[in-house]
Amino acid sequence: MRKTTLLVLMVLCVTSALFANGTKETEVQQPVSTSSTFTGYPMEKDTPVSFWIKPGSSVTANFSSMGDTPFYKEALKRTGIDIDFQHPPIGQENEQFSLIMADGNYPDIMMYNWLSNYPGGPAKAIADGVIMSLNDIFDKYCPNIKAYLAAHPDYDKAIKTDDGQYYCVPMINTEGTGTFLGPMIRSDILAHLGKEVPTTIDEWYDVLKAAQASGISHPLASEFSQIDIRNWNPFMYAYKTDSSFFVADDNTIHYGPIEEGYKEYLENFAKWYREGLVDPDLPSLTTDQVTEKMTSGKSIAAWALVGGRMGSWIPAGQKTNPDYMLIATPWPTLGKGETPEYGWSAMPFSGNGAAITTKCKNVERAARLLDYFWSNEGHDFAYFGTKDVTYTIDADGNYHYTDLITKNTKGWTLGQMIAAYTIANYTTPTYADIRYSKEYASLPSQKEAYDIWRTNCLKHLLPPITPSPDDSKTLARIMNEITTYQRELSLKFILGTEDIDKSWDTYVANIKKMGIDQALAIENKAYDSYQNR
Amino acid sequence: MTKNMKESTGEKIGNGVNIALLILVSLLCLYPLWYVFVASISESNLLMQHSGILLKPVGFSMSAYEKVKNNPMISKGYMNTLFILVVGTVLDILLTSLGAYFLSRKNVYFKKPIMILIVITMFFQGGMIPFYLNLKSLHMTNTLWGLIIPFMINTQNLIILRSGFEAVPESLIESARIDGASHYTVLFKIVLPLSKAIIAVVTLYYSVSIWNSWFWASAILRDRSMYPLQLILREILLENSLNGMAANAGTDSESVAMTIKYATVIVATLPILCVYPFLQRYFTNGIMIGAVKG
Amino acid sequence: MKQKISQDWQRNKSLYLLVLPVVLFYVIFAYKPMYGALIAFKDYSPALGFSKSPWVGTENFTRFFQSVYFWRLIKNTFLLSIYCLLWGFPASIILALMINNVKNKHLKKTVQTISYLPHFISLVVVCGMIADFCVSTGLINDVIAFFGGTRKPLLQDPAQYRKIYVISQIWQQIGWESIIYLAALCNIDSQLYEAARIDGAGKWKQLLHVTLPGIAPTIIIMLLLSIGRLMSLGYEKTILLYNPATYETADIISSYVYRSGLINQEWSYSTAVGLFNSVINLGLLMLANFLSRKFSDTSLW
Repeated sequence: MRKTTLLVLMVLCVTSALFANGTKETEVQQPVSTSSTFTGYPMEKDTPVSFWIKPGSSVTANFSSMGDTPFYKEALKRTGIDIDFQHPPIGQENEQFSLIMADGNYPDIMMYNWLSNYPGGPAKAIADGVIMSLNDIFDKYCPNIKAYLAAHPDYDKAIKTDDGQYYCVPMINTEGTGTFLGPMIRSDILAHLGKEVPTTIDEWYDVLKAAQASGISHPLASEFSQIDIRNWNPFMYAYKTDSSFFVADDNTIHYGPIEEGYKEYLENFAKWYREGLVDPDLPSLTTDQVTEKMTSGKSIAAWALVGGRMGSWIPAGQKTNPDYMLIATPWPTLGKGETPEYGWSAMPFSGNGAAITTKCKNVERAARLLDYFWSNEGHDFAYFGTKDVTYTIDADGNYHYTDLITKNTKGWTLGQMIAAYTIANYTTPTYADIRYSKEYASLPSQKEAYDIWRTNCLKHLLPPITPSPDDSKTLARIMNEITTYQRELSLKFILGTEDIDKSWDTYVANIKKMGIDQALAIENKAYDSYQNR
Repeated sequence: MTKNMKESTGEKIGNGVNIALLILVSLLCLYPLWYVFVASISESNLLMQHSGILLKPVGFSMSAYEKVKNNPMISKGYMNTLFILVVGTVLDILLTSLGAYFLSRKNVYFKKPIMILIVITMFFQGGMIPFYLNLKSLHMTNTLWGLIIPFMINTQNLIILRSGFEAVPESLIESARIDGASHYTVLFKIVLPLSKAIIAVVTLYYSVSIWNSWFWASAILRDRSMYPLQLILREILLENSLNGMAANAGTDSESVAMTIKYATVIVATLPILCVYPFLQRYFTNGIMIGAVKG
Repeated sequence: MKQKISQDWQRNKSLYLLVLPVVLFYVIFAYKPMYGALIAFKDYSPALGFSKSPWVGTENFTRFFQSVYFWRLIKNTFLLSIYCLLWGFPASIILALMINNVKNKHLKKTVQTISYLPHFISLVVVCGMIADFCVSTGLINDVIAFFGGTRKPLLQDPAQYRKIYVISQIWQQIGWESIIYLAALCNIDSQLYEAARIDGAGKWKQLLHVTLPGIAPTIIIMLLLSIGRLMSLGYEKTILLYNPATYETADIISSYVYRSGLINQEWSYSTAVGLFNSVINLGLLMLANFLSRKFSDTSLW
């Protein structure tokens, strides 16, 4: 009986092994042909270019494909290039991406975060034969992209691999568009307390104390349970440090959580927690709970997104309290009058870009399509649509959406209208536009927030470095451990369950034992290569 | 006489306590759905300000349901899921019954090895990518059949059904076999009718599982018109959540950020809740009285 | 042996034919892709494919085993599963017995239906409710304060986490899990109850000597199936309920792997951990199955 079982089992295993596929060949990149028949847009009719891209959430509410939107219908007229859109289900981009990789039938263009989400990084994506190196292609078919990159050497550096290859047509968060998150406070309550907008740690303490004295027991709230929000704590950045790797003033990479500045942040924040200025349920507060506290007035300050939070809290709060108003405050500093050196902003390039895969047959067509939206005309079209139909330019040269967009009759939201007539409000492979961000942000508080939240942080946030695949693996292994430990202890210091004076040295020693120095070496090596691009 | 009366008082108290406890359990179990229902018809902006227990709607608004109703894919989603549900459940029960019947027989030489090989699949799988590539090689990707056929047997359900079939008295089956009945006749005319309750349970398990599933649909379907209901609802949820709005999104006074997640639960759940009461009628005694001793 | 097989074939030919589609199903859909489990021993990249991805031996396993948190994760996963089993398993049986005891058909059906409703509420919504109950101004703290205790943020306390997890698990699943036992209760011959009553047995005695033995095979099978899933505790609920303050009791294997970032990109690592879990599960099941074979008539094989 046993023998029979084993025999059958072995047969089945062998069957399985036979099917372990090995028939996929990796494509060798075809040399770019030198002859081009381009005579300007619109191009002549030809087979469609397939484009894999995550659909904006404002699009899928009303259209099942981006190709059905009025924008892309107009784009077809202007460029002459037909697009066959392929969309992953919302929320499932990573799984779909992996399946397409395994499948081997890559679409012509794929919009994806090649920097963070391709295992091994963009250089490996090229080496694996998935996407094409774009240097030649830019030279031959993308004059607009080339011109833009020449005018912005910083962005140019960010979007290349260490050995100088372009791997995608990027989405660039241009100047001013990346500051969509920051500290905010109830301006009506500030007025009521007779206080100015706080700009330093001491001023914040003063304001929060005053709020507490007036009956708001725990004035500061935060979605601390969300990792990103926890990491982007303005009251930490004030101490010129960061919750992970960052570029310090000596232009090398440091690890924030083991440095003095971080300790001072913890001590200060622990004090605020002890005195009840921060909500006692801080670590477990869900988004809904923070929303409740901020809209009902139980807290008066938090740090959050300009759109999803400020934009929804204000109308909700005003429903029951017409005086309710939130305004952005600058990222706090230690000294009065200082420009904030540290803070948070989205990086100009976070890795999202449209790559041309090795299965693309008509490379020129795909490249020209992407290049169109980098021309002045194409870019304006991308962000604002058609002149005098969807936008107007006023006497000062400011762009404004027309009533067609802002006062729609179909019951669609502003976001959905913009998504129908432009490609402005989702991840697209072109450079962003602060004019759009401010137009889209309907409330004055929101428009101002973008500027109020500016800092010099781009000098200090980690740029898009690319460690080698092996280094990445080592880094992942070491950092998962360290991050778990660091987060646990930091929170315990804040809550007071661990005494920071007693345990700080052990905490730092433990992190060193877990290999932070090795991790720092890897990061600095990658940073050096980055600077030498 | 006295003995009977004593017992019946004791039993009465016991029954009373039993019912009281059950009512308590019912209230505790009813609360989540009541909360969801009430929240779904509340006004989103007012709901944002609410914390704690909710017994009545705050404000009144059907906006969340309208958002769901107006999604172009919603009726397609229902149709697709209905198809998979009906065809899938029937095939599932059929195939699982065949397997459970086989595994419940005695004196079958290869029964144990086959059982072991089936149980092994509960522990060792190839993972998402090899499973997908397998479907691709069988030309099942991008089809609704690809969501039905590879999932026809759930091993846990198979084992549960086998237990059910094992409870059918051997003597009944033997006498039928002696009378010349084929295994198919035994299965369909004797075993299945006597296992109504267990079949009802396994049917419930399969149909709920099919109704709730969205993951494989998201993996193998390229054509959005084939998306099942849950996948569409998931997208609606993500589109409208506070995090789904673009980071630099403008305000939306018609926001349904808070209420949409409750509305999607109601839309997703109510239909399937109707299946169970329908199956409840099979929860009756299945054993033929007197047949056992015969 | 050959003789035995040919005898068996003669006798059971039609049975084997009957089960053929089932066997084919498993071969085609379960065994054909099973080579994928070996991804655990490779440095897998979907673009390269299975055969072109290089072998790395036990590298992925050692990465997991050498983690400072290895034992903590195993302990947390194991304990949470065992507590849910220890408390939740009997709870659903008891609920089934209680419902079964009700004479009134309408009440019976109503309670049955209501009790399984929480199972259908999405986890995100349920965890939102749990968070609301556990906050310092929430319901549970209201009760604590009423009895003179001090209010505490419950979801920050590692000592409370397991209680919260297990109790909410029972709340959500008790009704759904009782369904199978209700079905099994139907299959007990009513004549057995008659006979017991005639012999003078009261309700309790009937329970002990007729009911429980009647559903014992079902209980054992469900128990075995649960043991076979012990280490596979999913991450969804944990991710929604935990935070670094409670990592020491809340962080389980799947949530740790999830945090190692981009679970879809770390194919080899997550497959290796999954394989490890499967081996432990299988071992536990084999032990449990052996014991159930020894001490009862029911077992998986």
